Amino acid sequence: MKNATMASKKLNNFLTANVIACCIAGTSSIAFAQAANPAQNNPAQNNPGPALPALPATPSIDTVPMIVSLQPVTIKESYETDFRSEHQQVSSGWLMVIRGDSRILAPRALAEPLLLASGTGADGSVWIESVEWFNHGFISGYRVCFIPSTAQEKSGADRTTQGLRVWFGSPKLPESVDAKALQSELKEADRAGIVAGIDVKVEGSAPKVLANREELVTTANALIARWAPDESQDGASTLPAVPANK
Amino acid sequence: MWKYLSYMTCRPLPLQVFIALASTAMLSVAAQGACPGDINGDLRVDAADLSTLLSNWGGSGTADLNSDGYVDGADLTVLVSFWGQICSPPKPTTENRLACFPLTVAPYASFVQTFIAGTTVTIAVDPGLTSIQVDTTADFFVVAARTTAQWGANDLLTDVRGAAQPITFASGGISANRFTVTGGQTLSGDGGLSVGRGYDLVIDMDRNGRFSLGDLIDGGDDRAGLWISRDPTATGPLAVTTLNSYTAVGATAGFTLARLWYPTNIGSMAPCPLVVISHGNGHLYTWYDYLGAHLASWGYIVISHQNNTVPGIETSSTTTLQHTNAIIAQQATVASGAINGKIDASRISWIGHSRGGEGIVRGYDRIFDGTYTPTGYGLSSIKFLCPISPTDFLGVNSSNPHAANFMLLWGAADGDVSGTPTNSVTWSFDLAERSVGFRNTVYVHGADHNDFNCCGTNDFEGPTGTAILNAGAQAVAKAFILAGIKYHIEGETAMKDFMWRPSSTLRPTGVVATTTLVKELVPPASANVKSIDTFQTQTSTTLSSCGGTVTSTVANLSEALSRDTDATYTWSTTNPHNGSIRATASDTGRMIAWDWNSAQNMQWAVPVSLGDVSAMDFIEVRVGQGTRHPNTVTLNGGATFSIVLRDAAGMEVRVSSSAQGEAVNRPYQRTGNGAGTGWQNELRTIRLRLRDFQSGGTGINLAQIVAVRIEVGGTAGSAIGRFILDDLQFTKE
Repeated sequence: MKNATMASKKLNNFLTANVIACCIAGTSSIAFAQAANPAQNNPAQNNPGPALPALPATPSIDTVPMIVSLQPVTIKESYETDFRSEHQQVSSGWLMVIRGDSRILAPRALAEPLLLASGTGADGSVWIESVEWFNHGFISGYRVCFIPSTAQEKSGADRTTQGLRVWFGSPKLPESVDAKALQSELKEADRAGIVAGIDVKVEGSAPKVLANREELVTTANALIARWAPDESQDGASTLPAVPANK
Repeated sequence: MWKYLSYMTCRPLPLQVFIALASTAMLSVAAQGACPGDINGDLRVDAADLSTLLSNWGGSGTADLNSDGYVDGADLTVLVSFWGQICSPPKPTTENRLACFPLTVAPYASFVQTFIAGTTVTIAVDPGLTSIQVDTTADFFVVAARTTAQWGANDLLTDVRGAAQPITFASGGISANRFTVTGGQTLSGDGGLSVGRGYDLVIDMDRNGRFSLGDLIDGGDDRAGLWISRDPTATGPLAVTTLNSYTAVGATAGFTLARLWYPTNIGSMAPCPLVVISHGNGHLYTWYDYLGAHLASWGYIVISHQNNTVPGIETSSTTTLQHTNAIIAQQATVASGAINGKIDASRISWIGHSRGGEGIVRGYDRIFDGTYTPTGYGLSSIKFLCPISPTDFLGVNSSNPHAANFMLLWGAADGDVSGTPTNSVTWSFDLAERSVGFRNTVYVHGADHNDFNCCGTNDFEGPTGTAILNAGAQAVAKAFILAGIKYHIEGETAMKDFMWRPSSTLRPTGVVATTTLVKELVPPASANVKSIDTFQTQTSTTLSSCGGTVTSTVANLSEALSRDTDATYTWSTTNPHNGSIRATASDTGRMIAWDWNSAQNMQWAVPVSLGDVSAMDFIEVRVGQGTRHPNTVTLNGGATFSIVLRDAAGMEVRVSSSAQGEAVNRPYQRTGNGAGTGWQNELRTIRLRLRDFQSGGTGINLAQIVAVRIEVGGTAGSAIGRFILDDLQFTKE
């Protein structure tokens, strides 16, 4: 417990320092991949990306991402999440931007580390979710994600950020993850010493109301355009058409 | 005519005959092979035949057309009834093969069909198999290809080069009777939207300017004897219009965008086949312009769509299915209706990369299993599956291409779907081995995972200096995907040559000569395949899957699942299939492995029921060198072997694997995953033409083959080595 407390303090201090540095200077002391290359979004010719880094072991406190923004949303027309094998209906959650280790964020064909979030409910129980994400963030360092609420609080109250932990778990296909697998991930996270970070400031005084998943995606895409423009695919539609080749 | 006839017969002709003679017009071509009245065999029923008949009046002989023993009015009636007929040329009992790739060793000529435009074309005549006379001269014609029916209607020889080429036969066997086709390098490969153009080759022995009895023909059936191919990496003949993106209705939110390419003049074209490109994880749909534009220039409508790969393969397959539904449904509105009515939804190709590669196979499987019902197309519409470096997350029950036409591309320097023995998700070839349809694979030395798109991470993990980069890998993709689509969708059978012939004999011009490609071609079980051993049944090493006895003198023979069992590429005697990553524990694909360091062999008895291979074209086997095995390391280069056929009379003929033009290559010299050098076992299909076993007039009776023997070492091939083998069979072209 003592070690966990010390580790927690170190982590808090680390994150605090870097969040402040980020806000003040607009840059980050956390190393991440080379600057975005807008040519990647509409390549007229080959433009290979940086080297694929080796994947570090997860879960680990060394790879815990930083939460850059967190906004609660409600979705009037619920949808099924693809990030759980049970495909639960989702009608609320938190739209989140994280900044992370480029080694983790690098896109891979093989299983990637699950992005997971857990917290403490009003009744003291711990919830855990498989976090959806809309981009990888390898070049920019920023990943736009969504923490779905697949279960309501037993008390019926909305979830809070109490005890919120966000971390990278075991490499798995999200569509294969079920409740049992998530409980196993919780245990591994505890073993790795992953603890809640600093109190995260939630944006907005009330949840942003979205009509449906399409609007959730549109909102996420706007965040991608801001934080990870190299991965902005909506931008492709505004580019001039490639001229005919003859 | 009547006076002449009356005079010659000295008796009045029946009135019917007169009327028939007077009124008979030129008739259409007789049924093939049926030409009564052609007494002199010049394929025409004319005055020359009449003269012969009348000269034999009252007698017997060839003019006795009704075979009643007399040449009389009844025979004249027959002749008259076919007056003016042009007869179809006699179908050769054995189609002559003339176009060839010359070899420096026996059998001195590898008879093939396809040549790249601009390359030297050679023909060869085998004195042992034809009736050519030494020191005689014939005229060699290159004519525009004709079908059998067209040959039947027209036997006139018109050389596309302007004039026939005289050739004089010499003593010294086939090696002395090879001829460079004059002007062969300038033969046009322009076949419009076909990648090439066909020609038939005729050696006019009697020099009469017509195809007639005794002439040699390569292409007398519906197949062109010679196919001049344009470079399949080159841009096609059509201008292309690109729509940077459109929104697919019904696709998963967040994955609705797609890019579209189509021939600019599509409005004046017949409906075009559809190609759908599904990208991999972390890739973008905008990264495949090189492929989309290329295929559209050859006459296809192509889309590349946003692919929901992050959750996994199921979601990836869903977006492939959704986008295929959508483009068909929305063709009236996409691109302002430019492609409305122009999608041939009965001919669809799915190309997928990485997770998208497994996704397209999963999508096909879902339709096959009935768990997904597409809109606007069905299972039979999917004519071609081409995964590029696919993952294998879901295994045999869910990622199964079944009998779909299937082609796998994989880069040997892949650092993502790497082929590491520690993780079966990276075993792309699992999917190929599950295929029970027509399948071919292209293993590309020096290509990494993201070389097949424009902009993914650099994942190269190969020896320094071997990287072929994006340009090299994309050239391979363009060439072989186009060849596959043309073959399976358009029926351009000549494209099959690209799937098995070694690069030294047929290489797309845009693929540099230093790019090593290892090719497998496995036809589906059918009447065109006589399988000797698939190693799937009869698991004893002394019994083949066809029930014949197997004997061998080779060392360390093992027949087992084609699966590396110790998660390392270090050679170990306890893991005889080291380097074989083609089957998970749930798969069933089996192969054999054995080694040699002296003259050794393995022989299969051929049951009588399979022994008549006279109608087959090839004896073939899939073979590769066992990676990191001490013998492979010692050999340190290409391996050769020989195949021997024995007939019922005991005649044995041996042909070297070199007859195909290339040795069985050394595995890609990639390190990692254990001690030594060499990556996963690479299998190639070695096809030896059965005609080669008859070369020089050996007299072997292909109708009564009783044994097939693979020989190694000694005079049969490389002195030392380790082989992995599968699918020993006779096949028809």
